[in-house]
Parts: sequence; C-alpha cells; structure tokens
Amino acid sequence: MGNVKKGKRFCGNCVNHNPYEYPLRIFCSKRYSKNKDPIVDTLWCCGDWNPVNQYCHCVRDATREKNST
Amino acid sequence: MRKDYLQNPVKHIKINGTLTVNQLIQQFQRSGSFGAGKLARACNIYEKMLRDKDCTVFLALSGALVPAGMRTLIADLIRAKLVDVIVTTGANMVHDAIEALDGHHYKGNWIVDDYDLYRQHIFRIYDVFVAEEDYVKLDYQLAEMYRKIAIERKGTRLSSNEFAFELGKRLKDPNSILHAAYEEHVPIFIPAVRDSEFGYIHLLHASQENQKNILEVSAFKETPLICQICEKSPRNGMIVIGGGVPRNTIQSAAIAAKKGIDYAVVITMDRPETGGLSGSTLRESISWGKVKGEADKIMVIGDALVMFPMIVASVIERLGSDFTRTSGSKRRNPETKRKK
Repeated sequence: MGNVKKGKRFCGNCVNHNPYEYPLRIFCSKRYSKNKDPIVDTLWCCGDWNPVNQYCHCVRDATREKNST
Repeated sequence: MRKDYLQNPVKHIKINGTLTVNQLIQQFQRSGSFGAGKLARACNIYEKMLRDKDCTVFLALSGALVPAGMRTLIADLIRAKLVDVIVTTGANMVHDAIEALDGHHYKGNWIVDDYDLYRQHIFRIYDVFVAEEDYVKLDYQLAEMYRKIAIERKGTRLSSNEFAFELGKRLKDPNSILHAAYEEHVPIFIPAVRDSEFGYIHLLHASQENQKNILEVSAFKETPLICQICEKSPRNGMIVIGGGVPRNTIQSAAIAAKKGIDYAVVITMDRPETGGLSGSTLRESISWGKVKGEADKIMVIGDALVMFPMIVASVIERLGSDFTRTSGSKRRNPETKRKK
C-alpha cells in the first residue's frame, strides 16, 4: 500500500484518519498534534500522508456521496 | 434430623395479569429454587443495605452496562440516594460520556460481518453497535476538557474520583452517570482509568506540540480515600455487577480499613475455576477477610441486564415512595457543601 499513487492518496486512506462526519469529514490526529484544525475532507490529502494498514470504505463512500450531489 | 431438611415446601409460581415486579420476586422467594431463589435473596439483601442507616452502599460496575442500556437506571439510583459510592471500569464512563455528548449506541446483531463493520467504522459490543465517529467526537472534546482541567488544577495530580468529578461537572446531560454523581456528591472511582478510551484520549491530549498543561491522574492517590470511606462507615455493603477490578477495589478497601464487607450481592456469569475475581465465590472472599464470615451475601448467576433492573424495581417497590435515605457523602461530611 506504500506504493499508492499520488492521485489515489486521500486523507480517507491515510493512517491518521478517524471518521468525524462519515464519510465526508475526518479527524486527523496528526494535525491535532500539530495544533492545526484536525477536521478535514476525506478526499483531501497533505504531505504527511501515510497508508492505512487495513482499508476501509471512507474513500469509496465519500467519492460516491460527492458524485451524487 | 431428617425432618429439618423438609421444612419448606416449594410454593409454585402463579402469574396473573397485574403482577408487579416485586410480587413476582416474592413468588420467586416462596418457590425458593435455583436462580429465582437467589434473585429474591439479592433483593432482600439490597433492601437491608438501604434500610440500615449505618451502611454505605458501594456499586461495582464492569462489563458493557452503559452500551446495553443501564445508564439512566444507574444515574437514577444516584439521584435517589440508593447508592453511595461507585467503582467502575473506565469503559462504562466512556460510554456514558459518549451519550452525554450526543453520541448513541445502536441495537445491532451478533451475527454480522465484522470485517464489513470495520470497513464502515462501526464497532460491535456483542449485539450493540457504536459508530466510530461518536468515539472520535468524544476524543476531540475530552482532549480539550483535559487541557482545561489541567489549567484549572494548576498541574496538581488528580485521583480517578477527582477526574470523574471534573468530567461530571462539564458534562451537562442530566441522564449522565458522571453528571448525576457530580451533582449528588457520589464519588466515582475508576481504578483502571488508563485501560479505557480515557487513557488514549490522554495520549491525544499530550501529543499536542507545545502543550504545557498536561493532565495528570495518579492511580495511588485515591487509595486512602476509599479506605477511609470504608473505615468511617459502621457497615459496608456492595453490589457487584460483573467483578474484576471494581469488585476487588471495594473488597480490598474493606480489608485495608480493617472492616470487611457486611452485605454483598454479586451478579456474574463467570466461573470460579479460573481463579479470576469475577467468578470467585463470596466464600472465597471470606477466606481473605474481604467479606465477613457472617455477612449477608448472595451470588446470582445470570445476565446483569436482566437481574439488576429486576432487583432495583423490586426494592424500590418495597421501599415505597415515602422512603428517604441520607446519602453516604452527607453522613460522612454533614457540613460539607460543594461549590458548583
């Protein structure tokens, strides 16, 4: 999963993500520890991205919901 | 004598449409058999504890009681002064706080694809579901609370009951156990506080860069206090749901105070053969001196979600609406008034 291409990297498949308003918003523990606003979009991504160790449906469900609106 | 064994014939249970909980329990008493007889005896012992003006009633909570719907019942017991001290797992208070912050527990199913739940960020507690975002919102809000508590307390270490008090002060939900205990001056001890989401919220709170105010909770600070409560109380009673650390905290305090427990009701489904405390018999506790040899005691084997509400309903019915009881904190400190 470390080989995930840049275009496929999202907060929703980063190891620091926790659902906040499923599926569109996540709580980022990394940003919290850096005193930045920890609530970000699931489909956003930053330079601190690291892959999750087990995939979840956050990116899939966020993409579906975004496309349906 | 042979006839001594044959004194009390079993009276058969008769159900009619207007039977109250206590009337059913009374029939259990007359039938006297197996779990029904034990449940009736548990009601008698809890009633005795409450009518004994010199008894402090400890309630030990372990197992997922709050997720399964016991939250309001416990908060109501606190407000009705039918319990004086609570010793609990951290997890039960975490789930209390989740609901106080508008989170929910959902009726679910135990036959389910758990990996699918994982991928949808849903946690399962047997047949109860919790959405992970309710935990995350708790983490976020409590991490901020930890910071504010640390600032207010100016770096002093808190005992787990002081920590619970601070949370209860800030959680405004009247159905919250923590908030009810704060308002009614009922101490809540959480001896294994780190072994719950509270511990991991601390990790989050302490992870913030340049964080100067780190909350500190000391595991040892409360030991003298809970022992003192036992020591000052002429008699001590405990109602244990489950067992584990909460049960042993009460029993150990009773023996450290050189008292021992006078009344005991334990509701569990665990077995004694493993040597673990949740299944250990009250006779075993007598061997340690934790429970007195002459204590009024019973171990009810059954699901606490069924047993405990029945015990409470039966005892409240017996006490009647005119029954009043002075709270344990008032008996201990008659002059103390808490600033809110």
